[in-house]
Amino acid sequence: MKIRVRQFLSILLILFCATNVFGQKMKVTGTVMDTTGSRPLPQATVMAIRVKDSLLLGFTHTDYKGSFSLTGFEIDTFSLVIAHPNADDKTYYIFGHKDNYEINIPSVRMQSKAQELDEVVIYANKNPIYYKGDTLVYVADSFKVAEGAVVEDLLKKLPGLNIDKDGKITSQGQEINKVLVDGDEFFGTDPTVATKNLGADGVAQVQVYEKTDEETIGGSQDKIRVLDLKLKDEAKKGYFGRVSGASDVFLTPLPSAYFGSRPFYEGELLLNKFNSKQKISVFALGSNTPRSSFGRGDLNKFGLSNESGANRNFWENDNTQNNSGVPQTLKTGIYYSDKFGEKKNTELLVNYSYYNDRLDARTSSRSQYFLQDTSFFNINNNQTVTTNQRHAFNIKLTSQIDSLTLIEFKPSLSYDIGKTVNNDTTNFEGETNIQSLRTSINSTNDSKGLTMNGTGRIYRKFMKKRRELEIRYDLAMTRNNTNSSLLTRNQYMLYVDSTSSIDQQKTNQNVSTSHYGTLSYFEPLSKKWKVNFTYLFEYGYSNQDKITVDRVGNAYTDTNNLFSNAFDNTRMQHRGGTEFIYESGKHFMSGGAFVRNIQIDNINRFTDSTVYQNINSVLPRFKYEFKPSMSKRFSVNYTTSSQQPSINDVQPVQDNSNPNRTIEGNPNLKPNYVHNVMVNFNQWNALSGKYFWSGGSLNLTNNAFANQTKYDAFGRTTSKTVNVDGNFSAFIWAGAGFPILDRKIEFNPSLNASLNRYKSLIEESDVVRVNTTDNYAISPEMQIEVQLDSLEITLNGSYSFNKPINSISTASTTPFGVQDYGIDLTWRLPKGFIIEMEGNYTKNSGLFNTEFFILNAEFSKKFLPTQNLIVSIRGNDLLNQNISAQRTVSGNAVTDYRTTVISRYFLLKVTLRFNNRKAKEDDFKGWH
Amino acid sequence: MISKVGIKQFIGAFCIALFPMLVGAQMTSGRIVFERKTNLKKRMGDNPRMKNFITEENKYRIENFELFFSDSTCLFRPLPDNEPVEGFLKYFTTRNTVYQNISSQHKYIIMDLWGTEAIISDSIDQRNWKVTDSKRNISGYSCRKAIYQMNDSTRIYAWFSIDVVPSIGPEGFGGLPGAILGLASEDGGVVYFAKEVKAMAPPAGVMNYSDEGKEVYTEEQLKKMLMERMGQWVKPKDLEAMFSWL
Repeated sequence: MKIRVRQFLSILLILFCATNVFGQKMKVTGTVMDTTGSRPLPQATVMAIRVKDSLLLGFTHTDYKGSFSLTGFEIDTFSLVIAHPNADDKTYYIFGHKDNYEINIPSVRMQSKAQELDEVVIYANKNPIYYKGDTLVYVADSFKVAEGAVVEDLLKKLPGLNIDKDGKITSQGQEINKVLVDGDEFFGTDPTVATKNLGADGVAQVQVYEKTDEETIGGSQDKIRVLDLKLKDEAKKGYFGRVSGASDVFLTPLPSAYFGSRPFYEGELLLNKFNSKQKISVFALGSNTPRSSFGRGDLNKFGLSNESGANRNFWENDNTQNNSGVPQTLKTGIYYSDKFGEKKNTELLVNYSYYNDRLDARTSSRSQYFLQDTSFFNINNNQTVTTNQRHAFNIKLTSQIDSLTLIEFKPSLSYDIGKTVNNDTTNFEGETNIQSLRTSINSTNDSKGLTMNGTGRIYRKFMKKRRELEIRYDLAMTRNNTNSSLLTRNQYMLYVDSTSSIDQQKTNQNVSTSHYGTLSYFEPLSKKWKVNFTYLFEYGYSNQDKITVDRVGNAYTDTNNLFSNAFDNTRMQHRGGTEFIYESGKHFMSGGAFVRNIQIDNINRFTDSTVYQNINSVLPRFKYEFKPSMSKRFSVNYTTSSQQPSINDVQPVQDNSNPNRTIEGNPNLKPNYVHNVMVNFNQWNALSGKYFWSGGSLNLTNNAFANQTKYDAFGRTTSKTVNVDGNFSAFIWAGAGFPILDRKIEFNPSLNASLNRYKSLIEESDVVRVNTTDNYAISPEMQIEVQLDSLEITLNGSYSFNKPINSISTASTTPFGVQDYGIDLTWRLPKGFIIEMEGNYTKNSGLFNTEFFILNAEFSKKFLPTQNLIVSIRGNDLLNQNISAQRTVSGNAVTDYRTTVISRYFLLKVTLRFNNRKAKEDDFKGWH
Repeated sequence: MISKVGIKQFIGAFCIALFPMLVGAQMTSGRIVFERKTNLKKRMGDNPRMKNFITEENKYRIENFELFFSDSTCLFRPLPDNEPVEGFLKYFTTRNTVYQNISSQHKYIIMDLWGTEAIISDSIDQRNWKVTDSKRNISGYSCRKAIYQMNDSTRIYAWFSIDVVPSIGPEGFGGLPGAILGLASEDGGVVYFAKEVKAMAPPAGVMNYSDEGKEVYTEEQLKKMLMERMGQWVKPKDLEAMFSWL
């Protein structure tokens, strides 16, 4: 009989012999559906495999109704594997427990093989977590959170996820770069807007996965980690907001020698309204406390990360505490996004913002410069008052024209007005502390700048899988006008009645336009191999007119040729790249190189001289990633980069905006070349919640840019940038997380170590000598987090040890250490009372001995049935010890800085929160 | 038996009509041909007397077995050698016939003890299997690897396929959620691989065995008896190994 017999209804059920008749047995029941999810799947194999040793505890097959019942073994932690020849295996992790021994999995839908996604579900106390391919999915409803809890509270309960006090999220020890809501950004890219405002009860699933970073130009393969909150339908619209005001006028303002009795204030208004298509956000913030500085987090919070501009420097301070002076800030804006089209495949995003800040920074410093056989002291007092205003307007239009084609259009415009007033006095002293020179500098700067940027992008996929094409055009334009004045007086103490002075006015006009065209193409070569070709063309034109006029009598008429110049600068770049990419389930490998030609024409219209640079470079790169399992990862990454000297470093024109630190150009500068190797390993155990991460990196720079500094007899400097070889830096890092007692307590030890070598050149009586600084540093840290229902405590302690070694002088090589201990506590008492406290003790030792303990505390009470009205008293720096003192060691100089900062103050604060959920908001911490 | 299979075929055909997407799926009765490759050097290598006889040329011994199975019974038996085996080398490997009844958890093993038949009637061994995620393909069937710790020094790998439903395997092996299509000692000394898997109704009565009028032993009894009688020629370790495969 040679006919193939196919039989499907033979049921084989083997119950393993019970070894303990009296003990409670595990019992798992369920129904298995085929890949359509509608028809029961008979004859699927169901296996229980013990987690600790992979022992097969039992198995059965589904009956013709697709249902199974597996029992007959002791309560244990095991994986339940459901397998069928026509589908991919599906795995559930079941944490058996005397309260959790009967598990019912109502409907198991098998995944078809074609999807190639292994799905793994974890049942721990009926909380399922599962993997869908590389996506980690938490089913939100199964994690118990307090009534009215926000997403952040939910995330804290999820195994493998961690949130620090600034709202930074890590999954398995790796930072989450973006939080999305239903695959989209939610009021900008700041995670905390979503995590602190959306109700936990509105979330259906929390997914963690990796996706390609779309922000980078030129076919990047860089992946970012994303946390995606999948909302339930009923939670997809609503509003939320907050009004708060705080001041110390109702308290007795503390008199201070420096600030007088000026009252402190903080005010904030935020309104957000959203539905599945539309998001509108209006905000305003104003304050004059140290908390007022806007970090990048705040910008993201209000959707401002969409702003792109040439001058983004002042955005990048991510400090929530402004320790550089006495600030005053106002920021307001509106953000709107909407989706159009039948399938909502066109998205428009518009935002406008206005920023106005003032910072009064007063710093005194004492520096010692070590030369071959002498040293100088430099005692400096500086006051800088900076005011900045900025209007920014951004649009982003994205349209998924069809399933294969995406276009994006992203123009932005910003207008900046800035003013700086700087008063500076410096005393120069010789080795024996005899004053030789006293200088005073008064300068002002008024600048106006217009920045325009634009990106147009077409991204296309093809019917052939994994073939991709991206064509992109970028435009960057800036126009800047600066008017400045400089008045300096030098008094030479070793001579009788000897003074000199500079009295100048300057105008500086900067115009630049750059065009970038990028083409990136991926072609699959086989199932696992593909190749990427990229080509980038850049054409840029810029011009700089700098006119310095000396004062003659009462008028500024005499053009100073030494400090005036006019430059035209043309830059053209061709960059071609090929990269081969291999991707299998466990391995990712890519390797290739860029070949680049850059031509820069730099015409000095004052002297009619031309600096021409024609630079060819080959930039290879290689990456290997190994993922033996979904929770284990190892990667090696080698990259090379090369940076051209900035035009200011090349131009042979002096800059005397600080006459004590003159800068001159070096037309012979070559581009640098950097090799970087980075190794990373991390591992996570879903069952125990333990994780471990480690890595190392090595940077080697050839032709590094270094300063060559010339000292005159008083210790004033003239410096230029030169090329040096042999700079390198090496880092290693490692850390781990060990939760105990059901994640109520978690220990996080970590260790960082580094070795840096950098060179600088010192010119002294026409002799140039190389100063090599080797800096060794090691810093172990331990953090302990305790999370109970009403009490959260974070303790951390770290020690960092630094040992700099200078080749030119041994005086500045004393090792120094910094100890840092912190406590962070939130205690929710009954009746809506909350006590919060942050304490931080820092102790510097070595050459430089200081210690201070900053203690902040807040006591608040919630009112209303919704608990949305909060009245609190906050005391900042209760012990009045805040000083901003810093020591820097660089090359042959040791500098101690002291900055005037705001120390102790108290605020009475009233906050009203509102949202459509009518629920009480238990935990909004972080939104001060 | 035949009529039972007939009904199943009918139901099977019905199911094919009902669930067309499942065509080509699981097998509940048929015949599997195993090829067993024994590396005599590895099996006997530490016996100094054998060293002189086992060479690089004859160290592999290849034998074939067939396994008939239905949903709850199976028969494992040797197939005749294709070519004559030189001299005494054939005595170095076992040639057992095994009947297993999964429903009643009973087995008969007919051992060929150097030309003499010995019959074991005993219950099926309960082995503790460790199931891994590792998978490989054997004769077109996707198999999952399971591991059995036979004793302190020997581990057995078994590859089973859920495509062949009954919990059966070569020799006295089984107990996995699917037929074992590959079986090997960790050192590769003995390897069973299915080279042919065919769905069919086994020949009538082939899986029935009656011990009527025959002397039967349990495993323990036979092992003890052999230990006493053969102890001076066969090392206890090798005897132990012989029984551990049952």
